[in-house]
Amino acid sequence: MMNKMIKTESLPMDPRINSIYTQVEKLLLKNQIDCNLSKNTDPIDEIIKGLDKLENTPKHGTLLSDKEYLDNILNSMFNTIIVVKPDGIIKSVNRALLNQLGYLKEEVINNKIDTLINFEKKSNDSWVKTILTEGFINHTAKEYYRKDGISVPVLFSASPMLDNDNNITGIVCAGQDMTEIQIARKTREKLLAQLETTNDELKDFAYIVSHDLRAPLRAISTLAQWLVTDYHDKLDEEGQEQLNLLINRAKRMEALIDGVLRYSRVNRERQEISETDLNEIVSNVIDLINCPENITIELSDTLPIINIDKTRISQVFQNLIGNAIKYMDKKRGIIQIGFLNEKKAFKFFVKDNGPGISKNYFDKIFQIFQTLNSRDEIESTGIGLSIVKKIIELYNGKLWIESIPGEGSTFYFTLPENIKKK
Amino acid sequence: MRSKKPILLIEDDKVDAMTMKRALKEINVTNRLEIRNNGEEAFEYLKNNENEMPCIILLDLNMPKMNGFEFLEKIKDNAAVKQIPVIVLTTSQEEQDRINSFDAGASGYMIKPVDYKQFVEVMKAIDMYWSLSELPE
Repeated sequence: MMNKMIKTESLPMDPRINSIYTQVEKLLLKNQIDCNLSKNTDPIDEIIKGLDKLENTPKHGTLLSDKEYLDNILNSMFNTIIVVKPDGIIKSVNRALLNQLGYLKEEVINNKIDTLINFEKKSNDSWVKTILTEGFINHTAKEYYRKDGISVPVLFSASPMLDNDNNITGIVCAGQDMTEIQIARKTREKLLAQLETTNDELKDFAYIVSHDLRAPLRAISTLAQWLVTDYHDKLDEEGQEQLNLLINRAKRMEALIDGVLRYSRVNRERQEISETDLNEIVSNVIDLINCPENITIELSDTLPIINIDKTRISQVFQNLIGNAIKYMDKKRGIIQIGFLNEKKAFKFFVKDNGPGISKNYFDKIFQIFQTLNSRDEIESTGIGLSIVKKIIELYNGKLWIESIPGEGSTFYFTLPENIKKK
Repeated sequence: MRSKKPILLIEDDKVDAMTMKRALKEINVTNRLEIRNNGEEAFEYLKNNENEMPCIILLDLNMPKMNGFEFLEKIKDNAAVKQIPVIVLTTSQEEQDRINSFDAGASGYMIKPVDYKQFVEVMKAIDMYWSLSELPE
């Protein structure tokens, strides 16, 4: 029988509490007291229940020494215990409480519990009533007063001790010191706030840098254009060429700065989420893009209506369709835009019969400033796809590519289903 | 411009000021161009009764000492000055800057293009509008 008790599955709890629980069980058994303790509920409640039974069971010869034994257990507990009479007078406390609050035992016994616990204006009666009506107070944040007046945050639980006629004979209050946890929580909050500030600064930084870079760039570009205009006759062919290269590079830099600005805007600007018909979005994007006559854009499925920021989802389609056009190398270019309703997600694709991309570069193309062609061959900032990725990830979606070099590429992206029109 | 009064340009960037001068000449705007380097200097100009009041103010946003927004706020309460249209000319494409400018009483908001030829086009548009629009004498 004893073995059976010890063998029972261990509780997912502080091992000290677990050991007290086992001891109480042993005591109950030893005194042949019938009390079913359940391992599935709060073990402290169960310990209290067991102790209650022990205390209220008609005296046995062995019980007195058992009480001492129990006192030892209570005193070795890490959590504080206060036992009060129904009128709120403290009957007994454990050592953890005396240590935590800095009292001697005789200073608290027979005092009102209000001297130790802040019950927020409520009288003794009302929390006693709560215990009587609810049966317990479980894990409530309370403050204990130390002898020196400093308050200690405590996670407070209490339950009544009943006699055989269900009369309340006392209340057991257990408290767990939350000081350390509160310090940790405050530190965490402070760090989070710092992180937020840093994040905001970073967002602003991209904006400020790009913004301030434009002004000198404008001067460079303007002055170079004047040189070409005003000193046309004084420049030889090489000089003209150099100035034209300078103007061209200034334009490229402008495109880069604009790209960085757009990239930083994805997170920086507030989202305006509204019901959005993607068919409309895509047809607007196609209208705006200058599509050469040799390329056909097909919408192969009816797209859904979803809740999303119109500007951001337009940017996604604009970049994907724009890229398909920009890199098209076939005489008859075909770009298909489609949609698959998958489990828990919408899956979209933009498919082209362009040059395709080798698998080696599947990751690289989504990184900012990465291009696969020299910028003199195809003018590109390498920011477009990184913006698409950032937007899709903003909505907890995924973006990837499937491609066969020479045959074409398909860009897929998903948006979670909960984004759909309600 | 309809009026022959001067144009007040508030701009701290020398090349931007040169660009303005050149663009106005190119589109045959003959109004005298008064250039002040920041809001403070511009306000001093406007306060001085000996100076001829401008028909239009072209305002940069990002300037030392007193920036464009501060300048707009400053002239809000000045009955004589607040009738002069103020066109913000800036690099900023930020929505918030647009909102703040119009909230503070700007009459227009133009983005300075990097390309000079486009800049001339912007100035043409400003000239055309303020040649058509009637202003209090």
